[in-house]
Amino acid sequence: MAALGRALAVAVLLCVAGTSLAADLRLGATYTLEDSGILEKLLGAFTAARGVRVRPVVAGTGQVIKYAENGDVDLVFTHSRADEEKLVARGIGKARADVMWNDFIIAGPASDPARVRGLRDAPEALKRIRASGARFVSRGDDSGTHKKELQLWALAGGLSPWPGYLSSGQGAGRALMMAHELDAYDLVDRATHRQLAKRYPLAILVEGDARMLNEYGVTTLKPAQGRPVNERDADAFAAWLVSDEARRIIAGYRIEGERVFHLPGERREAPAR
Amino acid sequence: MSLLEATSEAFRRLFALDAELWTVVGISLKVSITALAIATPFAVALGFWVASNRFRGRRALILTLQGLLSFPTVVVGLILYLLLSRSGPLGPWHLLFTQDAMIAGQAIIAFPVLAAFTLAAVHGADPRLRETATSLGAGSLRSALTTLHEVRFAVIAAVLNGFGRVISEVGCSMMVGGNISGFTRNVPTAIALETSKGDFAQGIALGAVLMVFALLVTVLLGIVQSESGAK
Repeated sequence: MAALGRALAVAVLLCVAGTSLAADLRLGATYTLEDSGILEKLLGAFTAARGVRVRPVVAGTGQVIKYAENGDVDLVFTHSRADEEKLVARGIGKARADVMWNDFIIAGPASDPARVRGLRDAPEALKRIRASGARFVSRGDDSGTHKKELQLWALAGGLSPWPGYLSSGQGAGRALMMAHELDAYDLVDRATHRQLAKRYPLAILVEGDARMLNEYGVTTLKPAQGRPVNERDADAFAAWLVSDEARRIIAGYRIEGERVFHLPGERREAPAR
Repeated sequence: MSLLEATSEAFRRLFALDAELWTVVGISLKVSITALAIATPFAVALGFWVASNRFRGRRALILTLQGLLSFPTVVVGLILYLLLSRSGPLGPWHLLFTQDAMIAGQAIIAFPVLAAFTLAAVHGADPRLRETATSLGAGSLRSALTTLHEVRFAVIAAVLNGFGRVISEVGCSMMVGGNISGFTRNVPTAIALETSKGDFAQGIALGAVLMVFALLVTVLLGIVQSESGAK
Protein backbone atom coordinates (compact mmCIF):
# COMPACT_ATOMS: atom_id res chain seq x y z
CA MET A 1 0.00 0.00 0.00
CA ALA A 2 2.81 2.34 0.98
CA ALA A 3 4.67 1.40 -2.18
CA LEU A 4 1.61 2.17 -4.23
CA GLY A 5 1.34 5.54 -2.49
CA ARG A 6 4.97 6.34 -3.27
CA ALA A 7 4.52 5.31 -6.88
CA LEU A 8 1.48 7.55 -7.15
CA ALA A 9 3.32 10.48 -5.62
CA VAL A 10 6.16 10.05 -8.10
CA ALA A 11 3.72 9.79 -10.97
CA VAL A 12 2.01 12.98 -9.90
CA LEU A 13 5.33 14.77 -9.54
CA LEU A 14 6.41 13.61 -12.97
CA CYS A 15 3.20 14.86 -14.50
CA VAL A 16 3.60 18.24 -12.85
CA ALA A 17 7.26 18.47 -13.86
CA GLY A 18 6.39 17.21 -17.32
CA THR A 19 3.88 19.93 -17.99
CA SER A 20 5.94 22.74 -16.53
CA LEU A 21 9.32 21.82 -18.01
CA ALA A 22 8.70 20.11 -21.32
CA ALA A 23 6.36 22.65 -22.95
CA ASP A 24 8.74 25.41 -22.35
CA LEU A 25 8.86 27.98 -25.13
CA ARG A 26 6.22 30.66 -24.59
CA LEU A 27 5.44 32.51 -27.79
CA GLY A 28 3.29 35.63 -27.74
CA ALA A 29 1.42 35.66 -31.06
CA THR A 30 -1.36 37.76 -32.55
CA TYR A 31 -4.92 36.76 -33.39
CA THR A 32 -4.37 37.17 -37.11
CA LEU A 33 -1.59 34.56 -37.09
CA GLU A 34 -3.88 32.15 -35.33
CA ASP A 35 -7.07 33.00 -37.24
CA SER A 36 -5.34 32.69 -40.61
CA GLY A 37 -4.03 29.23 -39.72
CA ILE A 38 -0.36 29.93 -40.50
CA LEU A 39 0.74 29.76 -36.86
CA GLU A 40 -0.27 26.15 -36.48
CA LYS A 41 1.64 25.24 -39.65
CA LEU A 42 4.81 27.01 -38.53
CA LEU A 43 4.77 25.69 -34.98
CA GLY A 44 4.12 22.14 -36.14
CA ALA A 45 7.07 22.26 -38.52
CA PHE A 46 9.38 23.83 -35.94
CA THR A 47 8.52 21.25 -33.30
CA ALA A 48 9.03 18.45 -35.81
CA ALA A 49 12.40 19.87 -36.86
CA ARG A 50 13.81 20.81 -33.47
CA GLY A 51 11.85 18.83 -30.92
CA VAL A 52 10.98 21.97 -28.96
CA ARG A 53 7.34 22.39 -28.10
CA VAL A 54 5.98 25.91 -28.38
CA ARG A 55 3.10 27.17 -26.29
CA PRO A 56 1.46 30.01 -28.22
CA VAL A 57 -0.25 32.67 -26.13
CA VAL A 58 -2.60 34.35 -28.57
CA ALA A 59 -3.79 37.93 -28.04
CA GLY A 60 -3.88 41.30 -29.74
CA THR A 61 -0.48 42.82 -30.48
CA GLY A 62 -0.91 45.44 -27.73
CA GLN A 63 -1.44 42.77 -25.15
CA VAL A 64 1.36 40.56 -26.50
CA ILE A 65 3.74 43.52 -26.08
CA LYS A 66 2.49 43.86 -22.47
CA TYR A 67 3.16 40.16 -21.94
CA ALA A 68 6.71 40.78 -23.13
CA GLU A 69 7.15 43.68 -20.70
CA ASN A 70 5.82 41.55 -17.86
CA GLY A 71 8.04 38.59 -18.69
CA ASP A 72 5.10 36.32 -19.43
CA VAL A 73 6.45 35.19 -22.82
CA ASP A 74 9.89 34.31 -24.24
CA LEU A 75 9.52 36.00 -27.60
CA VAL A 76 6.82 37.73 -29.64
CA PHE A 77 5.53 37.32 -33.19
CA THR A 78 3.43 40.38 -33.91
CA HIS A 79 2.47 42.93 -36.57
CA SER A 80 3.16 46.40 -35.30
CA ARG A 81 6.65 47.35 -36.42
CA ALA A 82 6.71 50.60 -34.46
CA ASP A 83 5.87 48.82 -31.19
CA GLU A 84 8.35 46.05 -31.86
CA GLU A 85 11.15 48.52 -32.58
CA LYS A 86 10.20 50.44 -29.45
CA LEU A 87 10.47 47.22 -27.46
CA VAL A 88 14.06 46.78 -28.67
CA ALA A 89 14.88 50.46 -28.14
CA ARG A 90 13.66 50.22 -24.55
CA GLY A 91 15.99 47.30 -23.89
CA ILE A 92 13.23 44.76 -23.31
CA GLY A 93 13.54 43.32 -26.80
CA LYS A 94 16.84 41.93 -28.00
CA ALA A 95 16.43 41.85 -31.77
CA ARG A 96 13.66 42.13 -34.32
CA ALA A 97 13.50 40.49 -37.73
CA ASP A 98 11.01 40.69 -40.60
CA VAL A 99 9.27 37.38 -41.14
CA MET A 100 6.54 38.00 -43.69
CA TRP A 101 3.90 40.43 -44.82
CA ASN A 102 0.53 40.72 -46.44
CA ASP A 103 -1.99 43.54 -46.53
CA PHE A 104 -5.15 44.75 -44.91
CA ILE A 105 -8.38 45.09 -46.79
CA ILE A 106 -11.71 46.69 -46.03
CA ALA A 107 -14.40 44.07 -46.26
CA GLY A 108 -18.09 44.78 -46.17
CA PRO A 109 -21.58 43.83 -47.27
CA ALA A 110 -22.02 43.24 -50.99
CA SER A 111 -24.75 45.92 -51.00
CA ASP A 112 -21.97 48.42 -50.12
CA PRO A 113 -24.16 51.21 -48.67
CA ALA A 114 -21.18 53.60 -48.40
CA ARG A 115 -20.18 53.06 -52.05
CA VAL A 116 -16.51 52.35 -51.39
CA ARG A 117 -16.11 49.40 -53.75
CA GLY A 118 -13.06 49.70 -55.93
CA LEU A 119 -11.46 52.56 -53.99
CA ARG A 120 -7.70 52.24 -53.51
CA ASP A 121 -7.54 55.09 -51.00
CA ALA A 122 -8.24 53.60 -47.57
CA PRO A 123 -8.65 56.88 -45.61
CA GLU A 124 -11.08 58.11 -48.27
CA ALA A 125 -13.04 54.87 -47.91
CA LEU A 126 -13.24 55.32 -44.13
CA LYS A 127 -14.48 58.89 -44.62
CA ARG A 128 -17.22 57.65 -46.91
CA ILE A 129 -18.25 54.91 -44.50
CA ARG A 130 -18.55 57.47 -41.72
CA ALA A 131 -20.42 59.93 -43.95
CA SER A 132 -22.92 57.26 -44.99
CA GLY A 133 -23.63 56.35 -41.38
CA ALA A 134 -23.05 52.67 -42.20
CA ARG A 135 -21.83 50.30 -39.51
CA PHE A 136 -18.14 49.65 -39.02
CA VAL A 137 -16.83 47.02 -36.62
CA SER A 138 -13.61 48.17 -35.01
CA ARG A 139 -11.40 45.69 -33.21
CA GLY A 140 -11.04 48.23 -30.41
CA ASP A 141 -8.58 45.99 -28.59
CA ASP A 142 -5.23 47.73 -29.08
CA SER A 143 -4.22 44.99 -31.53
CA GLY A 144 -2.02 45.47 -34.59
CA THR A 145 -5.12 45.71 -36.76
CA HIS A 146 -6.67 48.27 -34.41
CA LYS A 147 -3.46 50.32 -34.45
CA LYS A 148 -3.51 50.25 -38.25
CA GLU A 149 -7.14 51.33 -38.27
CA LEU A 150 -6.30 54.30 -36.03
CA GLN A 151 -3.41 55.26 -38.33
CA LEU A 152 -5.79 55.24 -41.26
CA TRP A 153 -8.32 57.33 -39.33
CA ALA A 154 -5.60 59.85 -38.54
CA LEU A 155 -4.98 60.12 -42.30
CA ALA A 156 -8.73 60.51 -42.79
CA GLY A 157 -8.80 63.56 -40.54
CA GLY A 158 -9.30 61.81 -37.22
CA LEU A 159 -11.76 59.36 -35.81
CA SER A 160 -15.00 60.87 -34.59
CA PRO A 161 -17.18 57.90 -33.71
CA TRP A 162 -20.71 57.84 -35.08
CA PRO A 163 -23.55 55.54 -33.91
CA GLY A 164 -22.59 52.91 -36.47
CA TYR A 165 -18.99 52.74 -35.22
CA LEU A 166 -18.91 49.60 -33.11
CA SER A 167 -15.84 49.16 -30.94
CA SER A 168 -16.01 45.43 -30.28
CA GLY A 169 -12.89 44.48 -28.37
CA GLN A 170 -12.84 41.14 -30.19
CA GLY A 171 -10.23 39.18 -32.12
CA ALA A 172 -9.96 39.31 -35.91
CA GLY A 173 -12.19 36.32 -36.56
CA ARG A 174 -14.89 37.44 -34.13
CA ALA A 175 -14.88 40.99 -35.49
CA LEU A 176 -15.36 39.61 -38.99
CA MET A 177 -18.22 37.46 -37.74
CA MET A 178 -19.86 40.50 -36.15
CA ALA A 179 -19.46 42.50 -39.34
CA HIS A 180 -21.12 39.68 -41.26
CA GLU A 181 -23.99 39.49 -38.76
CA LEU A 182 -24.55 43.24 -38.71
CA ASP A 183 -23.92 44.05 -42.39
CA ALA A 184 -20.99 46.17 -41.32
CA TYR A 185 -17.60 47.11 -42.75
CA ASP A 186 -14.43 45.71 -41.21
CA LEU A 187 -10.72 46.32 -41.56
CA VAL A 188 -9.12 42.90 -41.65
CA ASP A 189 -5.95 41.28 -42.92
CA ARG A 190 -6.25 39.39 -46.16
CA ALA A 191 -5.30 36.01 -44.68
CA THR A 192 -7.95 36.03 -41.95
CA HIS A 193 -10.55 37.23 -44.43
CA ARG A 194 -9.65 34.47 -46.88
CA GLN A 195 -9.66 31.86 -44.15
CA LEU A 196 -13.17 32.81 -42.99
CA ALA A 197 -14.62 33.91 -46.34
CA LYS A 198 -16.80 30.83 -46.61
CA ARG A 199 -18.32 31.21 -43.18
CA TYR A 200 -18.62 34.99 -43.21
CA PRO A 201 -18.92 35.95 -46.86
CA LEU A 202 -18.04 39.65 -46.81
CA ALA A 203 -16.82 41.16 -50.06
CA ILE A 204 -13.37 42.72 -50.43
CA LEU A 205 -14.29 46.31 -51.22
CA VAL A 206 -11.10 48.28 -50.69
CA GLU A 207 -7.59 46.98 -51.33
CA GLY A 208 -4.29 47.94 -52.86
CA ASP A 209 -3.48 51.02 -50.76
CA ALA A 210 0.23 50.89 -49.89
CA ARG A 211 -0.67 52.26 -46.46
CA MET A 212 -2.53 49.04 -45.70
CA LEU A 213 0.71 47.03 -45.55
CA ASN A 214 0.72 44.45 -42.76
CA GLU A 215 4.19 43.38 -41.65
CA TYR A 216 4.93 40.55 -39.25
CA GLY A 217 8.11 40.47 -37.23
CA VAL A 218 9.64 38.25 -34.60
CA THR A 219 11.24 39.94 -31.60
CA THR A 220 13.37 38.09 -29.09
CA LEU A 221 13.52 39.36 -25.53
CA LYS A 222 16.38 40.08 -23.17
CA PRO A 223 16.26 38.23 -19.90
CA ALA A 224 16.19 40.54 -16.88
CA GLN A 225 15.48 40.55 -13.18
CA GLY A 226 11.91 39.31 -12.80
CA ARG A 227 11.74 38.56 -16.51
CA PRO A 228 13.22 35.11 -17.02
CA VAL A 229 13.45 34.18 -20.68
CA ASN A 230 14.08 30.83 -22.30
CA GLU A 231 16.75 32.43 -24.47
CA ARG A 232 18.16 29.32 -26.09
CA ASP A 233 14.88 28.07 -27.54
CA ALA A 234 13.60 31.57 -28.27
CA ASP A 235 16.72 32.38 -30.31
CA ALA A 236 16.42 29.05 -32.10
CA PHE A 237 12.79 29.72 -33.00
CA ALA A 238 13.46 33.28 -34.14
CA ALA A 239 16.32 32.07 -36.34
CA TRP A 240 14.21 29.25 -37.68
CA LEU A 241 11.35 31.64 -38.61
CA VAL A 242 13.64 33.33 -41.15
CA SER A 243 15.28 30.10 -42.28
CA ASP A 244 14.76 28.55 -45.71
CA GLU A 245 12.47 25.91 -44.24
CA ALA A 246 10.12 28.49 -42.68
CA ARG A 247 10.28 30.63 -45.83
CA ARG A 248 9.18 27.65 -47.89
CA ILE A 249 6.22 27.09 -45.57
CA ILE A 250 5.20 30.76 -45.68
CA ALA A 251 5.57 30.99 -49.46
CA GLY A 252 3.71 27.71 -49.91
CA TYR A 253 0.86 28.53 -47.56
CA ARG A 254 -2.43 28.69 -49.43
CA ILE A 255 -5.97 29.29 -48.28
CA GLU A 256 -8.51 28.17 -50.85
CA GLY A 257 -5.74 28.17 -53.40
CA GLU A 258 -4.73 31.75 -52.71
CA ARG A 259 -1.34 32.75 -51.40
CA VAL A 260 -1.88 35.04 -48.41
CA PHE A 261 1.60 35.71 -46.98
CA HIS A 262 4.68 37.06 -48.71
CA LEU A 263 8.35 37.05 -47.82
CA PRO A 264 10.29 40.21 -46.96
CA GLY A 265 11.56 41.92 -50.10
CA GLU A 266 9.22 39.91 -52.25
CA ARG A 267 6.76 41.71 -54.51
CA ARG A 268 3.22 40.59 -54.56
CA GLU A 269 1.78 38.80 -57.54
CA ALA A 270 -1.34 40.44 -58.92
CA PRO A 271 -4.20 39.76 -56.50
CA ALA A 272 -6.43 36.95 -57.65
CA ARG A 273 -9.96 38.29 -57.87
CA MET B 1 2.36 48.75 -14.02
CA SER B 2 2.48 47.21 -10.57
CA LEU B 3 -0.58 45.94 -8.75
CA LEU B 4 -0.37 48.86 -6.32
CA GLU B 5 -0.13 51.51 -9.06
CA ALA B 6 -2.96 49.89 -11.00
CA THR B 7 -5.15 49.80 -7.91
CA SER B 8 -4.62 53.42 -6.97
CA GLU B 9 -5.27 54.47 -10.57
CA ALA B 10 -8.43 52.35 -10.46
CA PHE B 11 -9.78 54.19 -7.44
CA ARG B 12 -8.85 57.54 -8.92
CA ARG B 13 -11.01 56.73 -11.94
CA LEU B 14 -13.87 55.48 -9.79
CA PHE B 15 -14.03 58.68 -7.80
CA ALA B 16 -13.27 60.95 -10.75
CA LEU B 17 -16.53 59.58 -12.22
CA ASP B 18 -14.72 58.34 -15.32
CA ALA B 19 -17.50 58.48 -17.95
CA GLU B 20 -16.49 55.34 -19.81
CA LEU B 21 -16.34 53.34 -16.60
CA TRP B 22 -19.74 54.43 -15.31
CA THR B 23 -21.36 53.92 -18.73
CA VAL B 24 -20.29 50.31 -18.50
CA VAL B 25 -21.72 50.04 -14.98
CA GLY B 26 -24.99 51.62 -16.13
CA ILE B 27 -25.34 49.14 -18.98
CA SER B 28 -24.72 46.26 -16.59
CA LEU B 29 -27.39 47.43 -14.17
CA LYS B 30 -29.92 48.19 -16.88
CA VAL B 31 -29.52 44.82 -18.57
CA SER B 32 -29.51 42.72 -15.40
CA ILE B 33 -32.41 44.51 -13.72
CA THR B 34 -34.52 44.33 -16.89
CA ALA B 35 -33.73 40.63 -17.25
CA LEU B 36 -34.83 39.98 -13.68
CA ALA B 37 -37.97 42.07 -14.07
CA ILE B 38 -38.93 39.94 -17.06
CA ALA B 39 -38.01 36.56 -15.62
CA THR B 40 -39.29 36.98 -12.06
CA PRO B 41 -43.09 36.90 -12.61
CA PHE B 42 -42.91 33.81 -14.80
CA ALA B 43 -40.35 32.00 -12.67
CA VAL B 44 -42.21 32.72 -9.42
CA ALA B 45 -45.49 31.61 -10.98
CA LEU B 46 -43.89 28.38 -12.20
CA GLY B 47 -42.19 27.72 -8.87
CA PHE B 48 -45.43 28.33 -7.03
CA TRP B 49 -47.49 26.21 -9.37
CA VAL B 50 -45.07 23.27 -9.23
CA ALA B 51 -44.90 23.47 -5.45
CA SER B 52 -48.64 23.50 -4.90
CA ASN B 53 -49.86 21.04 -7.50
CA ARG B 54 -49.51 17.31 -8.01
CA PHE B 55 -49.13 16.15 -11.60
CA ARG B 56 -47.32 13.62 -13.74
CA GLY B 57 -43.70 14.55 -14.41
CA ARG B 58 -43.54 16.88 -11.42
CA ARG B 59 -40.49 15.13 -9.98
CA ALA B 60 -38.72 15.35 -13.36
CA LEU B 61 -39.57 19.04 -13.67
CA ILE B 62 -38.17 19.79 -10.21
CA LEU B 63 -34.98 17.88 -10.99
CA THR B 64 -34.66 19.74 -14.30
CA LEU B 65 -35.04 23.10 -12.57
CA GLN B 66 -32.44 22.17 -9.99
CA GLY B 67 -30.12 20.87 -12.67
CA LEU B 68 -30.46 24.12 -14.62
CA LEU B 69 -29.17 26.00 -11.57
CA SER B 70 -25.66 25.01 -12.61
CA PHE B 71 -26.21 25.28 -16.36
CA PRO B 72 -23.08 26.92 -17.83
CA THR B 73 -23.82 30.44 -18.99
CA VAL B 74 -21.65 30.04 -22.08
CA VAL B 75 -23.92 27.22 -23.22
CA VAL B 76 -26.93 29.51 -22.83
CA GLY B 77 -24.93 32.01 -24.90
CA LEU B 78 -24.09 29.43 -27.54
CA ILE B 79 -27.68 28.28 -27.95
CA LEU B 80 -28.96 31.84 -28.04
CA TYR B 81 -26.28 32.78 -30.56
CA LEU B 82 -27.27 29.94 -32.86
CA LEU B 83 -30.92 31.00 -32.61
CA LEU B 84 -30.28 34.70 -33.19
CA SER B 85 -27.53 34.48 -35.83
CA ARG B 86 -28.58 35.64 -39.27
CA SER B 87 -28.39 32.01 -40.36
CA GLY B 88 -30.46 30.93 -37.33
CA PRO B 89 -34.25 30.63 -37.05
CA LEU B 90 -34.65 33.97 -35.26
CA GLY B 91 -32.13 35.80 -37.46
CA PRO B 92 -34.75 38.08 -39.08
CA TRP B 93 -35.41 39.62 -35.68
CA HIS B 94 -31.96 41.25 -35.83
CA LEU B 95 -31.40 40.82 -32.11
CA LEU B 96 -27.83 39.55 -32.15
CA PHE B 97 -25.31 41.97 -30.59
CA THR B 98 -27.99 44.08 -28.93
CA GLN B 99 -28.90 44.72 -25.31
CA ASP B 100 -32.15 42.83 -25.91
CA ALA B 101 -30.17 39.69 -26.69
CA MET B 102 -28.18 40.11 -23.46
CA ILE B 103 -31.40 40.66 -21.51
CA ALA B 104 -32.89 37.49 -23.00
CA GLY B 105 -29.77 35.53 -22.08
CA GLN B 106 -29.70 36.80 -18.52
CA ALA B 107 -33.43 36.20 -18.09
CA ILE B 108 -32.89 32.59 -19.15
CA ILE B 109 -29.93 32.26 -16.77
CA ALA B 110 -31.86 33.78 -13.85
CA PHE B 111 -35.04 31.80 -14.48
CA PRO B 112 -34.09 28.48 -12.82
CA VAL B 113 -32.63 30.28 -9.80
CA LEU B 114 -35.84 32.21 -9.26
CA ALA B 115 -38.12 29.24 -9.90
CA ALA B 116 -36.19 26.77 -7.76
CA PHE B 117 -35.94 29.18 -4.81
CA THR B 118 -39.65 29.99 -4.97
CA LEU B 119 -40.49 26.32 -5.23
CA ALA B 120 -38.44 25.49 -2.13
CA ALA B 121 -39.95 28.40 -0.19
CA VAL B 122 -43.55 27.50 -1.03
CA HIS B 123 -42.78 23.89 -0.17
CA GLY B 124 -41.52 25.03 3.19
CA ALA B 125 -44.53 27.26 3.89
CA ASP B 126 -47.07 25.96 6.36
CA PRO B 127 -49.72 24.09 4.31
CA ARG B 128 -52.37 24.99 6.95
CA LEU B 129 -52.04 28.60 5.85
CA ARG B 130 -53.55 27.85 2.50
CA GLU B 131 -56.14 25.54 3.94
CA THR B 132 -57.20 28.19 6.41
CA ALA B 133 -57.41 30.80 3.69
CA THR B 134 -59.51 28.48 1.57
CA SER B 135 -61.78 27.57 4.51
CA LEU B 136 -62.28 31.27 5.16
CA GLY B 137 -63.74 31.52 1.71
CA ALA B 138 -60.70 32.76 -0.23
CA GLY B 139 -60.63 31.82 -3.89
CA SER B 140 -57.66 29.90 -5.26
CA LEU B 141 -55.99 33.08 -6.52
CA ARG B 142 -56.55 34.76 -3.20
CA SER B 143 -55.12 31.86 -1.21
CA ALA B 144 -52.17 31.65 -3.57
CA LEU B 145 -51.46 35.34 -2.94
CA THR B 146 -51.69 34.70 0.81
CA THR B 147 -49.05 32.02 0.54
CA LEU B 148 -46.86 34.16 -1.69
CA HIS B 149 -47.14 36.99 0.82
CA GLU B 150 -46.03 34.57 3.48
CA VAL B 151 -42.92 33.55 1.50
CA ARG B 152 -42.16 37.04 0.14
CA PHE B 153 -38.79 37.18 1.85
CA ALA B 154 -37.73 33.94 0.22
CA VAL B 155 -38.79 35.34 -3.15
CA ILE B 156 -36.78 38.51 -2.53
CA ALA B 157 -33.83 36.31 -1.61
CA ALA B 158 -34.35 34.44 -4.87
CA VAL B 159 -34.29 37.69 -6.85
CA LEU B 160 -31.12 38.82 -5.08
CA ASN B 161 -29.46 35.50 -5.82
CA GLY B 162 -30.55 35.75 -9.42
CA PHE B 163 -29.10 39.24 -9.57
CA GLY B 164 -25.81 37.97 -8.18
CA ARG B 165 -25.70 35.34 -10.88
CA VAL B 166 -26.46 37.56 -13.87
CA ILE B 167 -24.56 40.71 -12.89
CA SER B 168 -21.26 38.80 -12.88
CA GLU B 169 -22.04 36.60 -15.88
CA VAL B 170 -19.55 36.98 -18.72
CA GLY B 171 -19.90 34.08 -21.19
CA CYS B 172 -23.40 34.69 -22.48
CA SER B 173 -23.12 38.50 -22.53
CA MET B 174 -19.91 38.27 -24.56
CA MET B 175 -21.39 35.85 -27.09
CA VAL B 176 -24.74 37.49 -27.76
CA GLY B 177 -23.91 41.07 -26.79
CA GLY B 178 -20.63 41.31 -28.65
CA ASN B 179 -18.98 43.63 -26.10
CA ILE B 180 -19.68 46.74 -28.19
CA SER B 181 -18.37 49.84 -26.46
CA GLY B 182 -21.10 52.08 -25.04
CA PHE B 183 -23.81 49.65 -26.10
CA THR B 184 -23.38 46.04 -25.07
CA ARG B 185 -20.18 46.30 -23.03
CA ASN B 186 -21.06 45.49 -19.44
CA VAL B 187 -18.86 45.14 -16.38
CA PRO B 188 -17.80 41.49 -16.84
CA THR B 189 -17.09 41.75 -20.58
CA ALA B 190 -15.26 45.04 -20.03
CA ILE B 191 -13.04 43.41 -17.42
CA ALA B 192 -12.25 40.62 -19.86
CA LEU B 193 -11.35 43.18 -22.53
CA GLU B 194 -9.38 45.58 -20.34
CA THR B 195 -7.30 42.68 -19.05
CA SER B 196 -6.62 41.62 -22.61
CA LYS B 197 -5.63 45.18 -23.53
CA GLY B 198 -3.37 45.36 -20.52
CA ASP B 199 -5.36 48.21 -18.94
CA PHE B 200 -5.34 46.63 -15.52
CA ALA B 201 -6.46 49.80 -13.73
CA GLN B 202 -9.77 49.80 -15.58
CA GLY B 203 -10.11 46.07 -14.91
CA ILE B 204 -9.53 46.55 -11.19
CA ALA B 205 -11.91 49.53 -11.01
CA LEU B 206 -14.67 47.53 -12.66
CA GLY B 207 -13.87 44.52 -10.52
CA ALA B 208 -14.24 46.74 -7.44
CA VAL B 209 -17.67 47.85 -8.64
CA LEU B 210 -18.67 44.24 -9.14
CA MET B 211 -17.48 43.35 -5.65
CA VAL B 212 -19.47 46.24 -4.19
CA PHE B 213 -22.55 44.86 -5.93
CA ALA B 214 -21.85 41.40 -4.53
CA LEU B 215 -21.38 42.86 -1.07
CA LEU B 216 -24.61 44.85 -1.32
CA VAL B 217 -26.50 41.76 -2.38
CA THR B 218 -25.06 39.81 0.54
CA VAL B 219 -25.96 42.55 3.01
CA LEU B 220 -29.48 42.80 1.59
CA LEU B 221 -29.84 39.03 1.76
CA GLY B 222 -28.76 39.14 5.39
CA ILE B 223 -31.32 41.85 6.17
CA VAL B 224 -34.06 39.96 4.33
CA GLN B 225 -33.25 36.78 6.18
CA SER B 226 -33.20 38.41 9.60
CA GLU B 227 -36.51 40.11 8.74
CA SER B 228 -38.07 36.79 7.85
CA GLY B 229 -36.55 35.19 10.96
CA ALA B 230 -37.81 37.96 13.27
CA LYS B 231 -41.36 37.53 12.08
